Amino acid sequence: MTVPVIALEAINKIYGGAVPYHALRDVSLVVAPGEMVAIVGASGTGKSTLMNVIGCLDRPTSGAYFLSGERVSTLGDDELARARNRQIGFVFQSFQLLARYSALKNVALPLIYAGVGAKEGEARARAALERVGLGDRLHNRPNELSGGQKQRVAIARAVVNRPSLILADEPTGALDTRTGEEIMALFQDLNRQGVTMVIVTHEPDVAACCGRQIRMQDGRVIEDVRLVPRQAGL
Amino acid sequence: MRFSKYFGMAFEALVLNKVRSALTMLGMIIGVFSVIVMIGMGQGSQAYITEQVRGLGAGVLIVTPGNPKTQKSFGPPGTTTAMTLTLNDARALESIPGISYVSPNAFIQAVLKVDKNAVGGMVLGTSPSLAVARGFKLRSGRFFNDQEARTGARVIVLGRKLAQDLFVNTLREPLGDKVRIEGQRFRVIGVLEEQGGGLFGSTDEQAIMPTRTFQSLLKGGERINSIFIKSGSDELLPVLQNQVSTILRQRHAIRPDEDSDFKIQTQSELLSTIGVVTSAFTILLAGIAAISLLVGGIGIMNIMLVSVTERTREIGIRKALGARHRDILAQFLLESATISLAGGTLGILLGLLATFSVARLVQLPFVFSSLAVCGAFVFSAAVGVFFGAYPANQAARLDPVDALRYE
Repeated sequence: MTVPVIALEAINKIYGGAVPYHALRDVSLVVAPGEMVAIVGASGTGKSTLMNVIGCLDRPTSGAYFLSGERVSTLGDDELARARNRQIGFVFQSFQLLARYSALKNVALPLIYAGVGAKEGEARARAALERVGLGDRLHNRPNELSGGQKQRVAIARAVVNRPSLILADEPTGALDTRTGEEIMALFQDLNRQGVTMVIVTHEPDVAACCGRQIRMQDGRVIEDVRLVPRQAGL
Repeated sequence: MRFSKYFGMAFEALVLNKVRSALTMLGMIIGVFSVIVMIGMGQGSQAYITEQVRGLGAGVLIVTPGNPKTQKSFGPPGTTTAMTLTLNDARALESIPGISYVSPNAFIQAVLKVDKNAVGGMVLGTSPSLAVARGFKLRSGRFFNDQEARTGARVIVLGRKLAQDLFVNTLREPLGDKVRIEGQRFRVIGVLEEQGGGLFGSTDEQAIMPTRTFQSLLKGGERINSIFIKSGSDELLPVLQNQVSTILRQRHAIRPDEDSDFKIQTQSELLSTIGVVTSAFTILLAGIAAISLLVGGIGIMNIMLVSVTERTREIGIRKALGARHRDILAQFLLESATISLAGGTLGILLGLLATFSVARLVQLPFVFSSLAVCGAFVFSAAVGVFFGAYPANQAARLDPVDALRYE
């Protein structure tokens, strides 16, 4: 059997404070390579917390997390940074691009921290931007790009270091329906090329594009269904 | 990740906030500038004094008033306030065999008159050789010669400004004209080149005459500032020093168990005293200037803290993309180091320029201190790293989840 990209075992996340808050309760989840998974649920159900744990941005209070077979739930900050850099590509709702950098430099940013040389980094960033259809926008800054183009830059940045997992948090939340569909089509395209996807969303249309939907409620997984995905695009 | 990339990032961030970076840099520029200028001026005046004392030649003893144990002489000979030496002391020393000359040095404030025109000035008695040693330059006429010095000819050399003020109604040089001081008449034989403000007062407002001539202006018991005694060579100095001491102690009626009220130094002793004093002075000035460097450093810290807060999201993004603690730390440290080094370098250049210009203006030697320049460079780098460390650490410690959410 192939090593799962994500293997969560009884993950709990409790935020301290005067009144401790139990954000994740005994979440267990396995995502195999090549899957495209939607995590759905109302706000405050633990979606974001789960995404932070999966994205190695946060550590679970208890439970074990294996990312591509490596136990990451007990790693230190620097090793987590390395795991994010090598294994995960992030796509955020608000793009999270650096305003003063061109598209090319934004995309090359993860490669700086991966220790890739400047020349090779630029070539790979260029290829990634071409892959998302922005070969003619290499030197534009984010404020010279439309919302959809910005998200494409973010996706190019997510794939540039060839991660085993792309983690998208409400990737169409800031976009109109049509542009959102284009982004989902791009995700499906990347998925067909073998990239594993986890998309956190509250939009049923977006979730329907994924072959597997995981529903969260009160910090628990209450539903895990596989169905034939809708093809995005008009 | 390579150093050049960190540096590129730091440079980009600084260019983005040009005005802010420039103002922060200004703090460093001013700090380093003042340190460089203070050290430069201090060393310049030290070189100047040394040059003057050296100019006296070999075999020189300098007698200055004051108890050597209770009082330190600051600056050049003759500027101490306790006046225990008299002209008669100097005359008594002339009887010692084997000395070429005894030169009492004294200044008096006097009123110089030409017709009804009266001007206050400083009258200085000296010898032709000392005049050469002090580097007086003539604008017109000549200096008094050895014969005039010996005979006490009634001749006088005027400073430029003094000459202008005394002879307001004539455009020609006043050579051969008469000047009255305390009822005595002196013939003007030369006018000095304009010198501007020197470190120890300008010669522009001085009148110079041979010591013997000068003595006629003084009463026998008149106080003098210092006595220069020149003998043939340095070997005679220890013997000479004893003889001078014996004569002066006798004249001042000092009992054997009492301290002298004067001090006899050789040229090299004087040089080392001057060295100690001027070095201390230089260090004091540089220390005061270094405080402004400290203020510059605090300015850097302040602006870096603002920068870290402003760029919280950027830090979050970088961390999400794989930046480690040390990557963020290095990025921000390099930013503050770049500000302080750029400011420091500019400060060094401006400081050297200012030191050079001022040295030209007041005719001090320009001393290039590579130690001061290297020190200022290293110190400004250290200021950047030291004051950048706290903000950079704040940045590196940010939690990526919180930082990404920061509005």
